[in-house]
Amino acid sequence: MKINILFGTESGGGELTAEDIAQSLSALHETNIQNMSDTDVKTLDKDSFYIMICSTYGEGELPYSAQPFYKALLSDKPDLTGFRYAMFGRGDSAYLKTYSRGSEIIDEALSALGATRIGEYGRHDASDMSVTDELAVTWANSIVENI
Amino acid sequence: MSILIIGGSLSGLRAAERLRSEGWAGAITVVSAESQMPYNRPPLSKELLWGEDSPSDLEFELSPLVADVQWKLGVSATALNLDEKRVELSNGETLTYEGLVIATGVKSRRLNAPGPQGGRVILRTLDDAVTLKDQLKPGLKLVILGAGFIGCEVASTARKLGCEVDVVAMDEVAMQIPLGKMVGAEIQRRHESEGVRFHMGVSIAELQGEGKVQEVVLTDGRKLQADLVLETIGSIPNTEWLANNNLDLSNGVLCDEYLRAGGTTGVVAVGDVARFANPLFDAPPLRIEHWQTAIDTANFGARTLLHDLGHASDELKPISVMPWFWSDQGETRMSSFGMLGLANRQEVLEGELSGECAVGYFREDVPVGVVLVGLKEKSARYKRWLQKSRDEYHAGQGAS
Repeated sequence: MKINILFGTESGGGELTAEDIAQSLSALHETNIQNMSDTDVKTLDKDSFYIMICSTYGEGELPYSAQPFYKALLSDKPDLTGFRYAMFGRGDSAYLKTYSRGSEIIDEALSALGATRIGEYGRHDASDMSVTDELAVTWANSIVENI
Repeated sequence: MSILIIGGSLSGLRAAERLRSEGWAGAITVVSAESQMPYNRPPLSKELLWGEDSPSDLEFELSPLVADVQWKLGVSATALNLDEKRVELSNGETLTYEGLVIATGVKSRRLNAPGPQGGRVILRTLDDAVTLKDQLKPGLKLVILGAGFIGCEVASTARKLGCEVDVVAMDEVAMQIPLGKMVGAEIQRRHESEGVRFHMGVSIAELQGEGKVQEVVLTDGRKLQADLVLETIGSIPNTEWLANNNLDLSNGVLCDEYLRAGGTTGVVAVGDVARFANPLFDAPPLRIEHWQTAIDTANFGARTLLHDLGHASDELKPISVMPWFWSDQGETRMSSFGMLGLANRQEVLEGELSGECAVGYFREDVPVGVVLVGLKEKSARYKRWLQKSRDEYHAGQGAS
């Protein structure tokens, strides 16, 4: 199965997460990594599966590389019926009200256009001392195994 | 059972939150010399000064976890009796504890030079920042003593507000102590292009004026006109209250590898005041005055405390931190990972020093840090590079 991994990032953490996931999945699947800032929303492919990774910036805002993607979803309004994705949010629960909000903004926009989120919502919490980069890889593998 | 946290800034707050999130149900009291609830300090030299943030924007949101924590604001600790687990406060109260968190931070070092006291200011607290903000008007002649983070950030902000800015410092170039000469010289060049005047290799010998400073005399005899002098010449740990307990208080509180003050069970030091060895960088005990390290040490210290109080059964791991900071100076955003002060060589790894770049800091060819000027989207990658380099270095040492 083809798996597209899209990331929205401010300081590059989401890109590393995308690479970690791709490396882990590549033995069994064809993977493709793309920055949301380079993604044309008209090319979102209903025949492949998407893993979305998005961080949160400032007071619950989208990171800069996710902003054009989000704006294009709102303005172009592609019909995403049948489009399937999983969502992984990177955030810090010390920001009580806005924790992982960036990913939720993308998630809500995709859902509103008819897309279907698959599996457990992944979250990486920078304030959780036990969390490592492995978390995203483990999460992605369990998502993909259960598609 | 009660835990006493002395110091109510970022580190004290995060320690309280961590104690609660790890299940500590006993009483927690935070004693803070400041009269405000905990607030975020980095904007004091930037967003607050140029008016983008108001003081209320800086207040930390309080987690419901710490809703029942008792706060004693505007009160400082005056003495500790470690044997009797007792802290005396400036309001005459005496508090006892089972667990103690030392989070008293630092205060600004002051210039010892003759002359009027009026017109000499520092920047450490919200009150300091509000006072400074009220004076930074177009045309104000501001002399900043010291060219570190605070000095350079305020220089940039003050130019933005239309002030005339002279920076006076003993170092050869701006930001030399935190960043070294190569990057520091480039940062200075950028500030100069924004109109900041630097007077390096000198200090202020004397202030002149009637009741209020009007002129400063530099140690080389030159004179600068000044309406206001901002002293940013480093900090002094707030440890006076810890005296007479056989603790090593030379430059902060010397901690063991679990952040216990002097190895004392049930007593930890966190934040700017804590001095500890950092095995990730083979660093001797040092204080690390970074925002993120205040959080990291608070989390770590809270766990040690819970362990010591018999509340957590996990075996403790020695502390190991990846120091990290950022600094916004005009159009230049810098960030850094590691312990740059350990380096004896610097090398541009990517980009151009005059533009956006990544600079590696090496000690005997082993990476000890990295500074990014711009290149924000690369910061996670360089952080991982540094972590991996250190891990490989330590693995190699173990093998040899």
